[in-house]
Amino acid sequence: NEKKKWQRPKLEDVSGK
Amino acid sequence: MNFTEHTKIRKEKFGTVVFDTLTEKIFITDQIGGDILQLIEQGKDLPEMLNVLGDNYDGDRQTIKKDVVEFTDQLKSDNIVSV
Repeated sequence: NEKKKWQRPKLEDVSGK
Repeated sequence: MNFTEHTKIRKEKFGTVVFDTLTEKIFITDQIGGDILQLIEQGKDLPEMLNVLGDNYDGDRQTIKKDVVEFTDQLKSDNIVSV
């Protein structure tokens, strides 16, 4: 008798692309 | 914490797309960022978010807290959420 590994969340500005 | 009224989010396979209709800015975030956005959408506060993420992910609680606070600070500075 038990999860995905924690990773720092990312926020990316892709407006230009 | 709530989304600003000019923010739209859309869940994708890779994570979540965030669109600011006011500035026409588009952001993308990964799976974990998408989970955080979903929790914000559900109206969860920081302690509740940390509980859910701590249950779903394998990581040190202090690290998770630090990363979530940094991520939400970035959301605030980009006017995606307001307190």
